[in-house]
Amino acid sequence: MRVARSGEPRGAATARMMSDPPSRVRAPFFKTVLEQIGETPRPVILELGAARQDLLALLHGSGCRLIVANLATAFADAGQANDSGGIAPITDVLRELCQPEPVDIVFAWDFLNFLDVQALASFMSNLAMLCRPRASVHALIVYAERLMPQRPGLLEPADAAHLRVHTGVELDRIAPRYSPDDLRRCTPAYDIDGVRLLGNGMQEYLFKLRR
Amino acid sequence: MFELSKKDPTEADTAQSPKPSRSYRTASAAPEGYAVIGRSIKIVGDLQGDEDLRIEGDIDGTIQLLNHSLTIGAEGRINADAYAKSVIIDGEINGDVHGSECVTIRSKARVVGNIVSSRVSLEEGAQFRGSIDMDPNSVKSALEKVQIQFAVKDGARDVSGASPIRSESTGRAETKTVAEKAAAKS
Repeated sequence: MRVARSGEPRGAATARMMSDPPSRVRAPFFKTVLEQIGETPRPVILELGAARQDLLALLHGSGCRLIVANLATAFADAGQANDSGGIAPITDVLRELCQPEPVDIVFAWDFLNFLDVQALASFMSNLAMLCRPRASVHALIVYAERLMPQRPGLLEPADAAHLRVHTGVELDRIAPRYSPDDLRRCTPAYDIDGVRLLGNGMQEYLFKLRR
Repeated sequence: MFELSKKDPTEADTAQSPKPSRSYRTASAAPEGYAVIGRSIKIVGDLQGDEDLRIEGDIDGTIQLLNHSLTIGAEGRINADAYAKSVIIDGEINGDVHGSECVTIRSKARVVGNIVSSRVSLEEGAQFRGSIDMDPNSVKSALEKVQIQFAVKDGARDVSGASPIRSESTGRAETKTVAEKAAAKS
């Protein structure tokens, strides 16, 4: 991802595109989560994004149940809502999809960036109710960039240790650039098991449900 | 009801035998060896068969082809649970899909429901919301469950005295609708 220059007017920034070829970044916590899946008998995995062959291929043989929520549009809209009520349609969909088994692993990708603080707190709290104790949530937070795309879906798995970052995407939405402290405040039900700065300027998070 | 495009060793005998009372059309565009439900056909009810099937029409009910492949063509619209050996989805399905061998979701497909199969492949662009259960035990138990359900239904039909409806082209397929069952009973 290209880093926006400090003080750059928003109008100028919207014209910029990520034009480099898709880049791969090493994602250590993604690898950790996949290893965790391999060690869990019949893991239940929640994918907040679209179904992807790359992820299916990585999960092949795990005997898992993969729940595909495909929430890109809903997330993009929810972040623009000014209260946590904007998140209600999303949590309703998740509640319906995640029945009857509790979730062990959540792949949140870049979705959390599209929620404001209130919506993020509400979403993570609702998500906790759908998860098994000590469930893991893998997420990527825009950190170095000031801008991000209008919709989630910037990343996908490349292999068991790397993520592919899409380019050719217009950056026209202000990124909240949540810090670990911001996220800790929004997610009281979770421990932050680890944070790493990736090669593309995003931070990789591994949350663990506390209870 | 079906466009049958079979070309098997019995074809010559079929050609010499009296014309069946129900009309079947040969779909020239269809590949050999499977039945086709055309795009103008709408079926409400359960569908059970012993041959490969391609659906281009609308189905509202349960589809069971346990030892054969099911293809939901680009024009196919399914509001049903489907059980087959292999399932290829090119059209739309709103329901659960069980493939004992594999399930393939093509790029133009739209699927809302749960997929149970230990081998699932998904082309880029496919729209999917639901779950994919890759546990072999789930696949096995789901297929056993549907076999029992259909056996119970078959038992009930046998008790009522209605005989199964078979495809006249081969004498093997047993594919019927609720409307046909009702007609058979009356």
